[in-house]
Parts: sequence; structure tokens; C-alpha cells
Amino acid sequence: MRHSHFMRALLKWCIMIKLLWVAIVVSAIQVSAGTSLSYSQTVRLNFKLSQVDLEQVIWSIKKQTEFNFFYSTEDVRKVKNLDVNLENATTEEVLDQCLQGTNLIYEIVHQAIIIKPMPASERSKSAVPVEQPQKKGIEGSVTDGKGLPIPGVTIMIKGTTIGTVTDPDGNFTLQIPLDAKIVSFSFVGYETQETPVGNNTNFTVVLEEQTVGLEEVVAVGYGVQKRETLTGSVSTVQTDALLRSPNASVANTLAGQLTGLSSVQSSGQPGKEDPAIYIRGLGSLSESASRPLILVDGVERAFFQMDPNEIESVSVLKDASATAVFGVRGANGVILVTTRRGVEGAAKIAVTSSVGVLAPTRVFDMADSYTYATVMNEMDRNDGKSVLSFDDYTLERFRLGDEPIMYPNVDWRRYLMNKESVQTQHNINISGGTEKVRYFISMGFLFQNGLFKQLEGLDYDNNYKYKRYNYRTNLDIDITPTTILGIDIGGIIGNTREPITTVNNIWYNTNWSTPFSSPGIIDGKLIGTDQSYFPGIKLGNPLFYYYGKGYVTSMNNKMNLDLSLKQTLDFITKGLSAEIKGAYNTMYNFNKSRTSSVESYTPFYASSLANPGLPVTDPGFDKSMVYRINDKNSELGYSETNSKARDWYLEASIRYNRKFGNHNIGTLLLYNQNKKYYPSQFPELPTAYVGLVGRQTYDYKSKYMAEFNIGYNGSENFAPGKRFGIFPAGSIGYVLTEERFMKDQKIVDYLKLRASLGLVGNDNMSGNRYLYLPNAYGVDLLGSHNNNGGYPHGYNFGTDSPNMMYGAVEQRLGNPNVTWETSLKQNAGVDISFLGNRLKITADIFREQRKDILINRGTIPSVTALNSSILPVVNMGKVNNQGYEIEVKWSQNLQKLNYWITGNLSYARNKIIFQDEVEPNEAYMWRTGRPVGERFGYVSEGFYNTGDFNEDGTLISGLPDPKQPVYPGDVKYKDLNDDEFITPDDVTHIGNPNRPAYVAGLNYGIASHGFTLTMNWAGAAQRSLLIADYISKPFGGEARGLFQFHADERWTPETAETATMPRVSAVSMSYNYRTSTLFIRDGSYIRLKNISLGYRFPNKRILKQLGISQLGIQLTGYNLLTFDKFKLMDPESNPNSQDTYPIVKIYNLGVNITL
Amino acid sequence: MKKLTKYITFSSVVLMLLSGCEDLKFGNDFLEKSTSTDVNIDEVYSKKVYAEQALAEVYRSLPEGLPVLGRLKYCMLESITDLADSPKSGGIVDYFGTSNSATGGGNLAYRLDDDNSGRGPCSGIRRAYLFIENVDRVPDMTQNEKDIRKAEAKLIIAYHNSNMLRYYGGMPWISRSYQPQDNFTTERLTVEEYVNKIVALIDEAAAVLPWSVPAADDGRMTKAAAMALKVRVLLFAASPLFNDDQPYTAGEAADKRYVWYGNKDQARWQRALDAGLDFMREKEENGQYDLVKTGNPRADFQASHFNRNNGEILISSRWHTTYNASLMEFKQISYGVAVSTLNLVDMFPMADGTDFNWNNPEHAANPFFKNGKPVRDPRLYETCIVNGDAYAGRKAECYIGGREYKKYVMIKYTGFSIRKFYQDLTTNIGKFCEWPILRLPEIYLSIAEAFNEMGRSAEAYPYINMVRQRAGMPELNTGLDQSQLREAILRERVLELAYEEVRFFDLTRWKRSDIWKSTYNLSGLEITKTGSTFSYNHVNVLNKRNSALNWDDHYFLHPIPVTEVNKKYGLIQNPGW
Repeated sequence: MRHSHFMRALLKWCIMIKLLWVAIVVSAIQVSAGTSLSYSQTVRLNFKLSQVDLEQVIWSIKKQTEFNFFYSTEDVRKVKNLDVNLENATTEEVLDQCLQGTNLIYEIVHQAIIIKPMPASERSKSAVPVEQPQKKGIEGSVTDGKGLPIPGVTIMIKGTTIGTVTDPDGNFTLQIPLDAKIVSFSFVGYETQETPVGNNTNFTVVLEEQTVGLEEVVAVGYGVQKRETLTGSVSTVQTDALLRSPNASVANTLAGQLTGLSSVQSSGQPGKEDPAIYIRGLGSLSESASRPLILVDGVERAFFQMDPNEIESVSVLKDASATAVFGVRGANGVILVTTRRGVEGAAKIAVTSSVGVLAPTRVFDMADSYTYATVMNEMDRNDGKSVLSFDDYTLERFRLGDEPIMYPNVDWRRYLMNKESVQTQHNINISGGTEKVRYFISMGFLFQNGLFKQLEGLDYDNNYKYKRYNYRTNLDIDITPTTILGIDIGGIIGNTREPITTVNNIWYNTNWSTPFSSPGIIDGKLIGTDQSYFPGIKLGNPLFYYYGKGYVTSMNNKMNLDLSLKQTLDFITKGLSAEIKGAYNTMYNFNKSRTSSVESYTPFYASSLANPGLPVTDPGFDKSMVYRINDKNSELGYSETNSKARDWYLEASIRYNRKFGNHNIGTLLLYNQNKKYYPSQFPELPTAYVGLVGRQTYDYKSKYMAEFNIGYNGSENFAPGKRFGIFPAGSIGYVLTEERFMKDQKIVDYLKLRASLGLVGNDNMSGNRYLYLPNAYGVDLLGSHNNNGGYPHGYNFGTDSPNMMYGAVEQRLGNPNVTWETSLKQNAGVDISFLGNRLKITADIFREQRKDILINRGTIPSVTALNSSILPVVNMGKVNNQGYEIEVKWSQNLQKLNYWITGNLSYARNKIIFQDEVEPNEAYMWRTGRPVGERFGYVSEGFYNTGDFNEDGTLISGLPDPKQPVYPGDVKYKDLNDDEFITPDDVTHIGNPNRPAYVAGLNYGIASHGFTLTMNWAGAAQRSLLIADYISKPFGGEARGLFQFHADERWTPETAETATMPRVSAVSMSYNYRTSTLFIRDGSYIRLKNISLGYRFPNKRILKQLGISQLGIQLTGYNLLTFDKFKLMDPESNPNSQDTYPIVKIYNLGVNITL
Repeated sequence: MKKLTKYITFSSVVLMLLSGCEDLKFGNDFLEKSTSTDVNIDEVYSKKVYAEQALAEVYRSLPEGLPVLGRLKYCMLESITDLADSPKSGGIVDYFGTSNSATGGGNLAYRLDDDNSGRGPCSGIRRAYLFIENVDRVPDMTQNEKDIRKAEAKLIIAYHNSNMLRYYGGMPWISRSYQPQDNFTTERLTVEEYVNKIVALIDEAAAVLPWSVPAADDGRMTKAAAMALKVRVLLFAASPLFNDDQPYTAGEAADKRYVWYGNKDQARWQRALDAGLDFMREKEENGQYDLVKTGNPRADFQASHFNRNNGEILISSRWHTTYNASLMEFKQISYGVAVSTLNLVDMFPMADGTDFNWNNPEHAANPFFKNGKPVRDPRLYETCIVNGDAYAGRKAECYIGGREYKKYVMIKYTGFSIRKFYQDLTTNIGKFCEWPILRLPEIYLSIAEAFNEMGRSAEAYPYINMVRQRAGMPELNTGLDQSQLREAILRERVLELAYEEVRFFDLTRWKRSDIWKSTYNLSGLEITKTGSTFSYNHVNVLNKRNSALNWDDHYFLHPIPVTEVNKKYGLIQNPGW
């Protein structure tokens, strides 16, 4: 069954690949037909020069074009006394005119012009033969650290003008003199490499990226900056790192790759794998108020479900200098996602396609029927019950498993779930451009199948599923030589499918179900055990809530459109430009529910019905089976719900970047506003923001830097007159290695010190709006009294009137002074490189003081009934947050082998300074002064043992009175205040928050001979998990399902030494399972988040004949290895009633093809 | 330059089209809130229909006694007395006792705050004051209407205060609706001041309210409700918990007279009696109220607490409109939240009025039915599910292996369960019902008690017998001395008012630590069926209540939540906590 399923998926995948091929071939034909003129032919030049030498002409060409020249100064200086007077000439025309009659020739390769002496053979035809130097041919290829070819690399023989550039496939051939000694390979953004020629004729060169390169730019708020002169704290990750993970949510890839970012995934449900992401821990008083701002191409949008192929880079802005421009929304840090754009050149078509196998990392184990019954009987005996819950007959049936219908034993998770399922991902993207139009086009598809089995007897698919379509077209059009129009269209269509459950969710019911509640589905029929065979047990049965109940599909369509217009205003003054940008996003969500019901069968022994009093052990007892049918089969019903959202964003900016001698200045002035429709509160009123942003950067010789940022923001959340806030930040940087005294030393290649200080805001009010308005009332309120105790408004007067009188009630009191949180952020950092830039270290320390956090007053008297439901929130909370980050990178290129290793560690710890907490009875009970989200409970000192009791069962003197009868095996709580009683005053902080204080990553890779192996480890430490709710209690607290760990780890007189769970007892349930250190588990983990092994086939002729420039295969894995102390479930999941779909690991195989 | 202007104009036009003209504002104008559907207090009190809705929300604060909102971990108040028990884990075992309830008060019967439902007593008081303070602004209500509605709100304020009195003793008097910026400091009132404040407010309301309301207004506060509430308050105040030579527990709050009067004064009983007799006089004059009496005692008794507008429910709450077995409060029954104890069942006498006794072989052989006929006080069969009684169209099977035994945790536990309000979860589905907060028989029995305490026992009997008569029970034997009659009245209150939140306060106000301690060892019955005969085996219930084991008299009153005391606005904790 499972195999055929897999085969079907594989077949589907093969068909997909074929279809993709057809698409590629068709588009390739179109692209080649549309190839336009080369750069040199399109650029037009104007010259009016007299009596100049060739070098001056070259300079003039350089000024007017983007050509690079390669020549020997000696050669060109010889060509003098030129008069060039040309208008609207091509480069060729200019060069032809200049070189006429000289012994020089030129060659144009892309945007490089090589001027060289005429080869002897040529010269012999035209000029005087000279001595002919001996030459030899060399060839080779140049790739980057990841094995990808680099086109356009300049190859020069050192000390000569002999050189060439690599073709689009990174290959080159060159004729060099026999006495050539050293070849140099150089390319913008890469370290220049010099290789001795020797007897080599074939060069395979790997260029190393310059991390602190002159040209490297980093996305910052509303712009880009050179890494070299950056003074804020920003970490960045690029496309290739995002592509290594097969996980559907690109956000899961970021774990361990970006310093200062913590990412914890708590569900593996298809389409719902997005993690919770925080930057530098929590700065506010709750997780929800500490969420970072996420912008895609400068507009607030979700990016977790984007296709990683569409993403150029992800930047994380951390300190005030980087985030102040976001003003009232920047305090929690900002994640900037930049999508890929086309560059001029022939169309590059890349296709990737992969298929993967998903499997749960861990399956939460539940006890089988026999264990269940024996443990429950033990509980009954512990509680002194005379009649045990399970009689000997039942126990024997469970032990032998000989009556699987009447006395079943089902492991529900394994019954419902397959061991694995499949996913496939496909992407095709095309990028390239002509001089006037650059394009990037991407289409992606992802399919993820759920882990659920198709249960017999259902004529519809009852599994979870996720299908996602991503598309994007980014166009840059030069509508005049100085004007660029950008048109970006992107979208995500996510289709999910889930089974319907009638009560809560499937996991809740699975956990609450006993293994003998049903033998499952037999011959397509739902069987459920009758309650009368197990009196007092809450049988549960996940199938009753799930099987035949139908399914719900959801279609989520997000689409966004960006239009931007960039105008250089060099004609006003050089370096001035203006930009205007508008974005429009729409979201439409459509849910279809197909509900139905299905008949179920209850098996009985014949005698149980015919002769109810007869014991089953009676010889005359008839054990033949009779089924009673309950409920009815119904057709799938249909209902639908939908929701929608749209928003728009408008931005206008002026930029001025100019170099005055050694002074570089950059100025930004930007206005933006946005509107969001259909918010959750007051859906009829869209939300609105406006902002004014200013930035001034300055550097002197790239040595001394200073930057000032300001955000002036307005939010509709605040009263008129109090809407606008000013958020300034300043930063400075100092590159010591630019100093003369540092130039001579050879140890440190680069050293920059930076520091920043600034104020940023946070107006996250958990969805509440207009808190400044006067007291709000609700009228005409009515609710229905539902089964779970819904609490209707209004009242029912009269004797027999079914109509309720509506209610009118105060809903919220206004706070006219409400304002935003402010965060004073300080950051200091250092960037340093050693050993020829091979070792790079970046380190930051930060400190943040958050104040004016919105809180509910805790100290208002309850008798005034000014409770949290109506009390206005006030800006009183204070939290301090501090920490550090360090990243160490090592990379090295050996000739045939290239490897890199990056380690990072981030630490962030916060402390509540004020939250209007009522003074507790004991100092250790204060939550103020402790980290946000820290766990509180009793301190367990193990269990009472027989030695703790006198003969009459009372506790020996010296032990505190737990104020309730205890027995050996009950939890011994610590009496913290020494009052000799165990009371709630003995509750203190017992565990770390769920959010880790330390997050770390280790990424390394090695590339050689076309193979690339990378690993990405992510870790978290100083983090606690609390086993809570019904999961902490055996039998869910009340005769429901039993987890295996309760059975395994329970206290019995025999296991007294090793037990970690108390004795099973219903009577002592509420005593033993108070929140205590017993249920606090270390949530630290280290896991192999991603592993990838790729191979790129060498550029063989056969590939070229197929039109393929690159072909690679890639094996990737996700979550393949985990080291942790929490063995029950995946360490990232929730061991409480929020327990959901298991987190998965993925084995993935992909191919990538570039045409 | 020309080109540039052209492009900027072009793109602006595009953006304008995208955004729609009404949104094209900039700066501060862009942030202005446009008209929405929200309503403020001025709009509420500009229309009668909304003002009436505001009062409906005040009524909504009247509590229900069925297991809702997690109060007592979904038990009934009776479940912590000797009448009932709850084997539900985490339930009443922890009531008081195990933990310092003053801090971890989640299991307590009463809380000042809202429990997220918006139905707490303090919210009720606040909403009532908001109504009283604002209703005069309503243009389309007559002054008379306004006065009556205000009086209704006042009586609800008085009702909530009467509960605080019974759970906490003297509490601060909330005299208006507070605003967040108000500085709130206060002291608790002495019991004497508090009782007088409550009574004065009741009198104020009673002076305005009509004696009764038409059927369509059933459920509203009336003068009869006010006068009956006054009886309850004064009887509680006159009882020994507050009215004694000694405080029930020493402490600062006792020294300051927050939890007792400071002395014993017979006049307090007289005051309770007078209130009762005032009620009777008014009833005599105006009629409208009487016990349901059609001649079918069992049906009448069911109607007395279940049916609306039945002439004897004086104050009610309506959290649910009709009887619906699938509602949370009714479903809870199957979880065993209010299992009747044998202690309760044994209190019901034989139909002829003699006490039931297991040592009497005749009684022990046929404790409930003989030849298919009931042998006990008819109210037993309406209060508890009893083996062999009519149940859901057949006979209840509470014996080991029987259908009820198998189906419900509760029956397995004591052999009985609650029937009052729950009935059989089938027959009366869809019938309008309510929760009786105060019922006429309680007033009769309170008057009887006051007479007895005033040494006028002869005058007490007619009031007790009115209640017994309706139940089809013979008159109470005369000639009991004061304490015997007191016990008889307390027992009659159980028979008539079990599961109506009367027993808890009776045990408290009479400082019955003997009965509280006995709840550590309550009894149940294991019923075995052999052929067609039943045998009965007494068992102890398994629930060992820590509060009973560690009983201390300071449990008589609830602790004020420690967080409330620690807010330091002037509350002093009750003694012993």
C-alpha cells in the first residue's frame, strides 16, 4: 500500500519533469529569437578630442560607458597626437579610428575591451615582421566557492597586457608567451588569485568571495549600504544558503544561519510549518508584542512561504541605527527580504526539481492496553478501591490480545499515520536582460503530502495536504537613460487540506483516547467499543471525532504588485536621485468545509445484551458477537467561509550620494504611508501609518564613518496630537586598518569598530486599536448558550419567551494618553579579518531598555470591577534586554579544494523591570526582575519514601506539612519559606522561558571536483520545556489516554530509586501534578537542520549538445540528526495541550539544470 | 526636466488609481479615524432600548448554582457539604485544606473577580451603578419606569453584597462606578455597618418596586424579592457566626468586627423575625405568591424549583433559557460533579414522617420502594436518582452492573446521584427553566427558625408544616425542645432546599464544625442485584477531603484573595488565613 503510494508520487514527479522540459525548450526558443544587439553596438559615443594620446581616449570611453579596459600602458602611450571628432559613434568605430596604423588591435568581450599588440601572424601581413615570441595555449574554468561558474572573470598574465575574460560558462582559452610566469584571475567581489603557470595548460580556478569587499552591499532599511562603511548591526544570508533546505517554510532555513535570530518550529503540519521568529530575544512583555517587522522589497509582507529561489537576500536589522528608520515599528528588529532581479545578459534559465520523503522526527508514545489496565489497577489499589477498574478477564484479554474486536489494542498515532510521506518541489526561473529591460521570472510549485493513512471505507481523501504555487516577475525597464521603471508582480497560492474534527483537533483526541476504545476500521466500518465494558473509563476514540467527518480545504491567494520609478537627477546635481514606489497587496482566503457523518458499529457479546446480569466467566455466556449500529452515513455537506485582506503602500524618496574628494556623503529623505483593510478589530476601518524617514551617512576615506537615522512616524492608534513620534539613532564606525600605522602590519587585514545608540518604537497592541477613544460600549449583544458553556449576553425575562433581551455592556475604557513603547538601544561591535581575509570575526554586544510597554494594571482593586476586560492598557511596563553575538568565519581555497566554516553564537536575556505586579508574600515569588515567560512552580525534592513516615502513616517530624494526606511515592515539595507548610507561597521561578537565551549555528561546507557538501547545525540552550496540561498527568488527569512515559517512569516501591513521575493516584492527582520542577525539562538542543551534498557534472560536450550549461544533483536533508535531553517529543514542539502535528525530517533528492 | 515631470505625473496617476481617491490623504489627515460602528455611553443612554439592554447585563450577573465556569472545579456548592460529593479529579478534595486558598483561590466557591465571563459580583455592582448613574438621561422613559428600573439595579447590588457578607463578612461598600484614574482606598465595614447598609439598600428598592410583575416580566426584581432577601440577610446576621459572645476565630479582622458583631444580641433574631413577618403581611395583602400545590406532591415539588413563574421563586437567574441536556452544566452530571451521598438520602424520612433507620430491618430491606411503591418522603425521588425509581422511561439501575451504574461515574460512586434540576436528561427537554436563587419555602423555614430562636417555638410549627404539607408529608411532631426544633428546621431545609445553596450557609452560620469534620467520611451505598432482590452494602466515599481532615474554624468564612490584600488599599484578611 505504502509502496504503491510512493511509486505513484514518483511517477507524478517524472511527468512533472517532462512537462517542465517542454516548457524550458519552448521558452528557450523564444529567448534566443529575441536576443538583442551587443552592448558595444548599442552604446553611442561622442568625442571632440584633439592632440590626445590613446590613454586619454580610453579614459574618455570609460567615462561614457561601462567598459573595462585591459592594456599595457607602455603600448598605448606610444599612440599619440590623436584627433578624434566623432558623434554618435559606436565603440568599434572609435577604436578602429584610433588604432588605425598602429601595431595594436582590440578585442571586445562583453564589457571588456582588450587592447594588445597585433599577433605576429597578423602583423606579417601588414607590417614589418618582428621577432616572433613563442606562445602556448592554456584553457580552464573559473568557479566560485559553491562550484558555480563565474562569467566575466578577467584573466591576465602578470606583467603583460595579455588577457581575456571567461565566457558565460566560466571557461576561457588564452594564448600566452612561453615565458609567462603567473596568471592572475580577478573579478569584482572576489579575491584576486595568482597562479604560477609552470607546465600547466589547464586551469581549474576557484575564486574566493570577498566578505569585506569593497563592492559588497547589504540591504538596510530603505536602501543598500556598502558593508565596508556600515555602522549598524546587520546580518545577511544569501540565496544559495536558503536553497539548501528542503523545508517548505523558508523561515526554518534561517535557524542557525543569522546571528541574533532565534527560530523555533513547533508544528510539522503541511502548510503550517512556519516557525516563530524573534530577533535578539524578547524585548517586550510578551511574545506577541515582540514580533519583528518583516518587509519584502520594502513592503510589509509575509515571506515564510515564499519560494527560496525568488529571494536574493535576507537581512536582519538589529540595532537602533539599522531600525530607527522604521520608527514606531522597528523596536523588535526588522527582517528585510530582497527578491532577485535580472541582470543584463543572455537569458539564464534555471530549473530545479526535487522529490523528498518526510517522516516524523519522533512519535509520542502511548501505553498499550495491557499497560494501561495494569497501571490503572495499580492506581485503584493505591487509592484503596475495593473494585478494580479492570477485572482479570479483561486483563487477560489485553495480555493475550486474543479478542481484538472486543478488547482491542491500538496505538492511535501509528494507526492513523504512515511512517513517511512525500513532497516535491519544482522551480523554473529565467533571468537576464537587454540593455533596456532586465527581468527575473520565477515559477515554483511545492506539494507536501500529509502523514495520514487513507482509511478504508472513505470515498474522499482524509489526509493533510499542501500545494503551493509561487510566482514572481521582476522587471526593470530603462524608460529613459536616467529613468528606471520597476514592475514586480509576485504571488503565493497555498492550498491546504485538513480533516475535520468535531472536537478540538485530532491530536487532542488522539492523546485523550484509550488504546482499547476501538479496534479501528474493519472492512470499511467504524467500530467503537461500548462504554459498558469499561465502566468509568473515558474511552475516547480519535476516529469518532475524525473518521467520516469530512474535510476542509483552504485556498489562500496572496498577490502583490509593486511599481517603482527611479529617476537619476544628475542633471540637477550629480548624485541626486528620486524614487517613487507604490505597492498593492491582496489576500483572499477561501475555506470549503465538507462535513458528513458515518455510521458506527458497537460490538457486543450476545449474552451482554440478552442477559445483562450474566458474568462473562459463566459457562453459559454466549460470546458470539452482535453489532449495534449507531448514527447514519450522510453525504458530504458543504459550507464555505472566506476572508480577505488588502493593503497598499506608497513611498517617495530623494537620495543624494556623492563623493567630494575623500568625503563620501549619502542622504536619504523618504515619505511613506500605508493602509490595511479589514483588520480584525473594526474591520470597517482600515489601519493607517505614515512615516518620514531621514538618513545621513558620512565617511572619510572609508576610514571614519558616521551615520544618523531618524524616523518620524505616525500611527492611527494614538490620539490626535499624540500620533507622531521621533525616533533618532546615531552610529559611528572607525576602520583602523585604513590608518597608516596599521598598513605595515600583516596580521590584521581589516578591523572596524562600530557603535550605535538610538530610540525605536513599538506600537504592537495585540490587535487592539483606537485605545485612546472614550469608553466603548457594545449594544444589541447576544450570544447563544452552547454546549461548552458559551456565555451569552443579554437576559431572558418572562415565562416562556424564547427571545433573549439583548445586552449592552461597557467593553473597554479609553486611555487618551496611550502611546507607543520606546526602546533605547545601544550596540557596539567589531568586524575583523585575519590571515588574508580567511578568518573573519564579527562581534556585537547590545543593551536595550524598553519602557512604556502597554500593560494591564495589576494593582487595581478587584472590588471596583475595573478588570482586564475593560481596563485601559497603560504605558507602564519596563523590560531590559541585553546580550551579545559573535560570528567566526573561516574559509580557504586550496587549488582543488575549497572549504569554509562559520560558527555563530547569540545570547539575549531580558528582565522585567516593571509590570505593576501585586507584591507577593515572599520575595522569591516576584515575577518582576525575572525574564519574560519564565516558569513558576513548586520545587520538587523527589518523592516521599517509606522512611519519611511514622508507623501510623503520619509524616515524621521535621518534614513540612503538605496539608493533605501523602503516601510513599507522592511528590515532596520544598518548603521555601520554612513555614512548615506547603502552600502556594512556596512557588518560585523554576525554569527558563520557552524561548532560548542562547542560539547557535555551525555551518560548514567543502567543495571539490564538482562535489559540494554543506551542513547547517542549529542549536538552542538555556531553554525549558514544561510538560503541562493533561500531558503531565497520567490518564490525562481523568481516565483518558495514558502516555508511555507515565507508565515507564512512575514511582512504585520497586522503582523508588529511579522514578521521575509520582505514584499513580487519582486522589492525589491534583497534589502531585502541580506545576513543579518535576515537569520542567531541559529544552536545549543541537540539530542538523540542513545537510546538502551536491554534484555538478563537468561541462562535457554531451551536455552542451543538449543545450545545458550546468547540470547538478543535490541530496538534501532536514532535521536528520538531533541531540537533546528531551526524549519524549521533538525538542521544538509543545509538550502541552497545544501539541500538534509532529515535526518532520526530510530526505530530498533534486536536480538542477541551467540552460 | 519635462520628461521627469511627465513620468512623475504618470506614476502618481497610477498610484491614485490603485489606492482609490478617498484614501489619498497625507500626513496627519491620513491617520484620522473615520466613522465606525462603535458606541459610547452617551449613545447607550440616549435610547430606552439600549438602557434596558444595559440593565439586562446587570441581571446577567446573578449567579447560577449549576456547575459552570469552572467554579469549584465544576462542582456544585452542595458538593463540598455533607449532602453531596464530587469524585472528579482536582475537584473538591482541594477545597480549602491542601493549599493556602488565600493565594491559590481557584477552587473556592466564591470569587470577586470575573472568571473571564463578565459575570462576577463586582462587575454586576459596577454595571448596576453605571445604570443608576446614567438612566436619568434617557429621553424616552417615564420617571416611574426609570425609578423602578433603578430600584431593580439597587436590589441586584444588595444581592451581591449579601453574598459577600455570607462568604467574607463585612466588606468595603462600593457606592458608585469607579474610573481607572480614581484613587481607591477603603476599609472594610464592620458586620453591623455592612448589614445595615445592605438592609437600607433593600428597603430603598422595596419602597419603589412593585410587589409582583406580569408573567412577561418574570425574572425581574420585585418588592417580594427585596423583602425576602432582607429575611435571608438578617437571619444570617442573627446566626451565631456573627451573633455570639466569641468570634469564630480570633484575629485582627475579628478585633475590628469585620467578621462578627462583637457580642450576642437576641434583638438580631427579632429583627430577622420582623422582616419575615413583614413579608408575610405584605403577601397576605397582595397575594400573587404561594407554594405550588396541585395535590400531586412529587410533581408539585418538581415544579417548585424548575418551572418559571410558579409563584414561589422570588429571585432567579437564567443563564440558560430552556432545559437542554447537552449544555455544559447538564453534561457535567455524568462526570459525577454532585453525587448525592447516603448522608443526604438518609435524612429523608419515611413517607409517614418517621425517621429512616438502616437498623430497622423493615427499612433496610426496602429502603426506597416496597412492591413498586415509594416508601420515603416524595422529595427524595425528585432530589436524587434512586435505584428502581422511574428514570428515562424505565427503572433506574443503580446496582452494580446496572445501566446507570455503568454509564455514570457518579452512581458507581455512591449508588445515587442528583436529580434536582438535572432530572433524567430526557423528559423535560426544551422546557423553560431557571435557577432558583431564593424560594418561598426558605422564607417560611427562616421565619420558623427565628420564632424558635426567640423562644416562640409553637409559632414556628405552622411555617414548617406549610412546607411539609405541600410535599405530602404529615405535620412535624410537636413538643420538640428549642435545639431539637432547630435541628428539625435545618433538616427540613435540606429536604426542601437541597442543591439550592442553602446547606452550605446553614452549616456556616451555625458554626457546625461537627458536620464539616464529618465530611471526611461520607457514605455511599453499593447495591447488588441478585435475581429480583437487592442487597445494600454501606461504603465510605473515597474522596478524602483535606479541608475536613484538617478542619479549622477559620474555614467558615472565605479568605480574601491574597493578591487583593496585597494591593494594600485597605483590606484586612479574615482571621486564620
